[in-house]
Amino acid sequence: MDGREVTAAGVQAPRSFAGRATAWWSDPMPTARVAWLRLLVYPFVFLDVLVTTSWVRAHGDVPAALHRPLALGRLLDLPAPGPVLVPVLLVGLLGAAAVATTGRWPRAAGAAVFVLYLWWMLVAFSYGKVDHDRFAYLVALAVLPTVGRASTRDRQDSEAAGWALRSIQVAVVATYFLSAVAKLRYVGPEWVTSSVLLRSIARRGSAVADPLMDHQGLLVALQATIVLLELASPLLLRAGRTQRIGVAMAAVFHLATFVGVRIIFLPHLVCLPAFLPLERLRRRERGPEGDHPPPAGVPGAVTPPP
Amino acid sequence: MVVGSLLLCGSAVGTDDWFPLGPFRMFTNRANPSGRVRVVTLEAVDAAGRARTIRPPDVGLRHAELEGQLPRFQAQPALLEAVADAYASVHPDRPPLVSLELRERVRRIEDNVLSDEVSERTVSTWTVGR
Repeated sequence: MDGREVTAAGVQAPRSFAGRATAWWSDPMPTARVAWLRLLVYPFVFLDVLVTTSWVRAHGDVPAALHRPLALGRLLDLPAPGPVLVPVLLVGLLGAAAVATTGRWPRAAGAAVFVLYLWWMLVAFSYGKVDHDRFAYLVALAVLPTVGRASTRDRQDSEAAGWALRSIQVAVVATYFLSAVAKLRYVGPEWVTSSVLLRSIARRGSAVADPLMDHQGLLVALQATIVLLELASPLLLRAGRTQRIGVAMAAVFHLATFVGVRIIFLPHLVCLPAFLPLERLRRRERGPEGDHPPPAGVPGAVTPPP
Repeated sequence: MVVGSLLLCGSAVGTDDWFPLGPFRMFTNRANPSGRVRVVTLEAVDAAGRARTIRPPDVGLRHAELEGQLPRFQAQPALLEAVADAYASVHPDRPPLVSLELRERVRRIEDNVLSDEVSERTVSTWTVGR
């Protein structure tokens, strides 16, 4: 705690590793960015539940014999989803997301969305297949309520916003980095030279990806690039140009994956803007010569010429 | 800090069961240069005597879920009755299913080249009242 106070006062950097880590994790960031991010994250619940992963609802029709509850579901002793529980959960989740989108009761509504969405995910993944694109999104749902009130008009930075945004950024990076770790753990370094992309295209290719099946060398080069980028993902946490290039590369990677094999990690993508200076959206509306210049030190902030 | 530690443990020794803290195994199934690509299909006969190919959404499941529970279906063919029940819930307007056959279609990969040869085998079967 000492470390944080010293940094906030701007006197000197804290000494201990734990102190420095704490200070870094709660380095103040714009509150307005939290408000913008909420406007992406909470409405996304509607898209996710009603459109892109609408198959979750169908689990209400599946007999309990095919329900394979995950550890968390067993720990909490949650009932098997059925034709009553699933619609009730759905309505509750969408209602909470609607309230959270308006920005009212940010803590209570946000906490409700987190709990109900996590439950919804246990309904989704307790039938024999777990998806892996939701960690950062769940972290976002968990930490966004902690900031309390936030408006896109806010002009100040806060440690609460910094802590929440940093947590989301770390979760995004962890997803990339640990997916490289998982490749090494489950397959080993030979993942790079394996036929993983060939198989993926054989199963769910497209007009764009199918011709690649004849170029195994190119596929291996792509596989090597993927692992290298995943291992380099912690660079995303470096403010400035590295971060902007990194976010752009991540966006291109996800777009290419979608065009090639029709797989898109939407919940994860919704979290990527946590790296972007969203708070400047409103400042730009008022013109770059606004009465208050953006604070220095904001990742990606461009200081207007004197 | 706690979440971070659990996440690292999850990635090191956890399984999908640890969701949301399990390992991020996107595209981490073994993909040797030579091997097999498997596609699971469900064939059924309904009460009107019509043969139907059942798509996973017809029984409230995703393709990967059907594949994920393949070993269970193989060990307990009676579980297919639950699949037939799910079909009746999803399609209350259609005649119910009286028999189900879970099949897998296999294509070989040799040195990273997909062969045209397709082989099929039955994983498990169920008939109503048996």
